[in-house]
Amino acid sequence: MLSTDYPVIVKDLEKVYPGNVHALKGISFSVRRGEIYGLIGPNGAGKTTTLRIIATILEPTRGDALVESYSVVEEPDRVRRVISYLPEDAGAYKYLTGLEFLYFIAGFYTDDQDRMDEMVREAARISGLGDRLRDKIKTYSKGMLRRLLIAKTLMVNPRVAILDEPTSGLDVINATKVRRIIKKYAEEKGVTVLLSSHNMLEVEYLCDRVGIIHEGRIIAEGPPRKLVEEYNAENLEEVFTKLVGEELV
Amino acid sequence: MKTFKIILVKELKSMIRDPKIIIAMIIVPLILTGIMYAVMIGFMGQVAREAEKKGGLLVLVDMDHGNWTNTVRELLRENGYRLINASSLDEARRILGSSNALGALVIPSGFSENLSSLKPAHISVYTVIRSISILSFTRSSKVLEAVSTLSRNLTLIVTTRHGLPRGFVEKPVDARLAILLKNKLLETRDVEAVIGGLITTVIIIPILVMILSGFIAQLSATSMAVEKEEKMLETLLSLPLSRTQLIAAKITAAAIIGFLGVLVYGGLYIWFFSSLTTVGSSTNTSVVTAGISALYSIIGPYTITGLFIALIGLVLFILGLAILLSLFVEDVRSAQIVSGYIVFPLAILVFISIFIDPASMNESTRLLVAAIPMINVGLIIPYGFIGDYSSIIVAVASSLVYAGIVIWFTGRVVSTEKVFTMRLFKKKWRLRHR
Repeated sequence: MLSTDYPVIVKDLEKVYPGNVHALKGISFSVRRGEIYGLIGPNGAGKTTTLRIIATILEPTRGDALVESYSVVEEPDRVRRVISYLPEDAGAYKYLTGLEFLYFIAGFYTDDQDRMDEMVREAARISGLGDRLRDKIKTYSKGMLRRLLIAKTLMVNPRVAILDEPTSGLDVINATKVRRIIKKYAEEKGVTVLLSSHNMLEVEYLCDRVGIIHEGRIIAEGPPRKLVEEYNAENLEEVFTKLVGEELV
Repeated sequence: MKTFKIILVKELKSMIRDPKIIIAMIIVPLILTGIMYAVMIGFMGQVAREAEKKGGLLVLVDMDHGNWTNTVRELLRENGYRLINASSLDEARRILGSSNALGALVIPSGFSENLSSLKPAHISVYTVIRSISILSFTRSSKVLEAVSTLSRNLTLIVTTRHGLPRGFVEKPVDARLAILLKNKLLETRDVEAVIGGLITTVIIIPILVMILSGFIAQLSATSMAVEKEEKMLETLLSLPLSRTQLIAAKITAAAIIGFLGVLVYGGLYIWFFSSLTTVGSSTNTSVVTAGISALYSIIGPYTITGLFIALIGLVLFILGLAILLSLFVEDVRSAQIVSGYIVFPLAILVFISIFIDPASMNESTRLLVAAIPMINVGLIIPYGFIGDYSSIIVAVASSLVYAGIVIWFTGRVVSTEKVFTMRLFKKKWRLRHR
């Protein structure tokens, strides 16, 4: 498997938290360049832990993940330069304006003021917040904040965008807006996107391939339609139910 | 230094725009000092006015019935005292109990005879404490003031009658006051003011250090906890930034805001204590000013420089500790609580330094004590006073070393996942893991 074709390669990832809590029990998967890959599964399955390890927030107990051929264990600083991560429960500095926040983030990726301005213009376009970017973030609604955060994640044109539950807590309208933003941006820029969601309908809409994760293991992987056909189901929810059905009962 | 600059600017913007910081930095100290001023200065002024107020009601028991007793009556009346006569001590006690009299004077038989023959005479003085308050104590002590004034007046009469030089009788030995501070002779009219000033200054510096410690510890702990409370820590840790610069920028921002706060607090407290020590004084000389001036002339610029550097080390040490602890809590409130865990014990260490006398220790003990964090900073001026520059160097160096160790260790912790997986309060932490 060539790392040029696969910007994310996860190998036998295990994570044991203090108290001997086994969050990941040997996860392996790869994400092709330019594709949107979704990790799906219920709460507590290990999605966030996997993304946090790839985003260099957590260290794996065993195994490794390569991002653009950089090891998250050995070269976390290099990994951070090629990724952009949106945590599920992310916020922003409430006493900064939206614009100040975007410049704050852009400053870590470039010293060039023109490039910074370009990033912020791109973020303004992605978020669609317009003049509200001049207001303090504490005045934003939850939907506006999430759009701002999606914009800050994508504006830096990362080689790999990592989005943890990108529509978490949003109403239908805002969730739809965010999904469209992600889909459009990935298509336009060819960015590799690794996201997680427990909303399987959302994943069906967004993802080229998915990995179904349950109790720290990937139990199925493939394009959503192929999985639906393979398991003779109507949608991914049914696939998931069939895969772990006995345990759910 | 890119990370440092970006984080520093963000921190300063956020802090300046946060109304909680403005309240803590400016409004609270102004209110506190205002209240303290109103209560203490107002009250002490009242006490001073009460003490200076002439006269009052006195009960007089005359068992002498001589001519000098009449003189006593006249002198007391001239000084504004109103007199109620009592025939016995029991009656005097009854009057004291039922009136607002300051006290009772009992003139025993033989009083006039003794004074006439130039022998010391005695008066029994009964004072009344009507309540446990400074004002009540001040009123009670006015009886003694009445007797003291009476004694001076009687001296004047006796010396005049017998043709004795009054100045000689009142003060046969006149002291010219001077203090030998180290090798410098400090001439002064008011030794008590200088000594009081020295003591006050030595106490004020640790108090200011304590205020500074508390303020900046809260700020730095809060600045890290805000990242968690505003849910930015995870984002920050995934950005291409230097973790050491992140900590350094947060410490710098907290130090800048903290020092501004200390300027407000320190300025107000120095003004407050200066005002406190000059209440009721006939001169406007501040004992704090006298103390600082006397101290500077003795300990010189080297000790002051050492104190300044050690204070920087102390500030960085506390900031580093506060940030380290705040890494393991979830919100601002918890961070402020844990910063209290370190500030109060450390403040006690500074407070202990007030009671340590380096002059009574041998050299090796002084060097050892100079290496104890917090205490060493409080002792730099006493070390300078006795000229122990080796201990000052140890105190300054150890302050900087402790700061360096804490900041380095904090930077190491931030570079690990412990910032995510360790909690001081293990409340339902497992729910965070998916």
